[in-house]
Amino acid sequence: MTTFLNPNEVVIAIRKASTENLLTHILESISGANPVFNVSKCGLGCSLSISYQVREVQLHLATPEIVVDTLNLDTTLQFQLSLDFSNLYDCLSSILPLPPRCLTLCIPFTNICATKCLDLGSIGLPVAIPLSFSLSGLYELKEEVVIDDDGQPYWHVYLQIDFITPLVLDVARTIQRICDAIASELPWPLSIVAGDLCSVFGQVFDVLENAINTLAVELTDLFFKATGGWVGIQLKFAPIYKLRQNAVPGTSNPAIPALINSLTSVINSANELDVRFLLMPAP
Amino acid sequence: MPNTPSVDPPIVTRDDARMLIHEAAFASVLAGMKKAFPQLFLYGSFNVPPSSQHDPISIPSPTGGVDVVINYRIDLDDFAVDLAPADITVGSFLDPFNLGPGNAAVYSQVTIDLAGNPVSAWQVRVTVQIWLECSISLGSDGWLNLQLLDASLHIDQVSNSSLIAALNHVVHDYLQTVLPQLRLPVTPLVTNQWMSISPTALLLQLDAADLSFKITVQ
Repeated sequence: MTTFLNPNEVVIAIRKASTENLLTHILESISGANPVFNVSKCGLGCSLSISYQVREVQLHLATPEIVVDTLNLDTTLQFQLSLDFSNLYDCLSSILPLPPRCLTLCIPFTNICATKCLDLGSIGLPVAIPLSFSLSGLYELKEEVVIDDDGQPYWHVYLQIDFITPLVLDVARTIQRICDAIASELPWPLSIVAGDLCSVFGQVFDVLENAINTLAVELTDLFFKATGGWVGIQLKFAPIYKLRQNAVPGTSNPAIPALINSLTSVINSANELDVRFLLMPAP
Repeated sequence: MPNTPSVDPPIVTRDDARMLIHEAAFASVLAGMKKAFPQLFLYGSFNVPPSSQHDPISIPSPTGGVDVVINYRIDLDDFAVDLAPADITVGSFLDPFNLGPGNAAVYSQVTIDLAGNPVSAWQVRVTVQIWLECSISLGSDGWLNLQLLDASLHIDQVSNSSLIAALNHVVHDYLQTVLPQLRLPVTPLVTNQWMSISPTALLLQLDAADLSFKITVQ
């Protein structure tokens, strides 16, 4: 059965090679840093942020999915623990009968006073945990309307992971990054020793990695396949592209009002990126 | 016979990408432009924004001086776009043109307010429905060329078909004389952080505009 263009419909199709080139370029440019939490109480502070960067991408289209052959993601968890002893002392002194940390002296029969506080100092403990992931697998495109930072509704098109081949931490890569970091801090000749030690660790962890991989593949099978394919991990935090819902695409400042309805993005049976929507008059 | 292009894969027939736009989507764009830039569709000597304001029409007296001053205001609203085949009817006014390849028809309702000087002295409103025939082509130099070819009027208040035919004839002759045209640069059409696209071909067919593109990833 032949399908024809519907009233108000706009169809955009991009050839396989161009789509692969474009998606590779977009995925390779994904990087950023996000705070996870930052709490502080009684002088005790704790924060965690995560930075991420896609290192290598190789993919091809095989309808109806995007087959990602290689997608290596480097992340670094920046954990910061800090303790301000002065604040901690003040906090504890409200609970326990401790001598005051501050002493105020005044000249008799005047209003002239001076306060001197004992500074107990503080310590900070930054911990950087590098983690690398191999995210090769089967992906598809999904879309949803999201109110963006500017208060306007946007169609976000993002990737959904339908199946990850080895859903594992890339242990070898993680060890390599830790070793590189250690070696860069140590003076010669310790840096060479660090390199040798790391290569031994690497061999040990290779065995561990294989075991983890086997376990992860089985878990992945259980997670994705046993559910009949209806479960997917939606990468909504990193949209591939955005389209303003209440404006003609490509217009801004000022945007021409319109309404984009029923947006769909698929890899069609000819392995083209196939984007369709209805461009309706603005309400 | 299908009235729109097939969207069965493979959709791309030349270059890197293809965009098919149904004629009704163009009408949505025109309606949006009216909301975003009302001054583009409003023209005259009173009750219009300063950017579209012009002097009233002064009719000279045969004995010298000015006999009468007429204020005017022209507002375009309610748009439609028709690509071949000519099959769109707005109200009871069917697209009258026999559209050839590369031709499109644009409908608008034109509200013309005529008033005395001062405006409060007298006022008359005439509503005209108009179909404009245009040719659209994409030049090899990366410019989109639009040319107004013909116009066909329909005025509700005027039932005399001979008068309407005469008016259409006058408008047709006027357009043939002045050949109003518009040129828009479209290469590259869209540039974002990842790519730019350049239109390479434009075909108007079966109620849809059919654009082919080259994509440059950057």
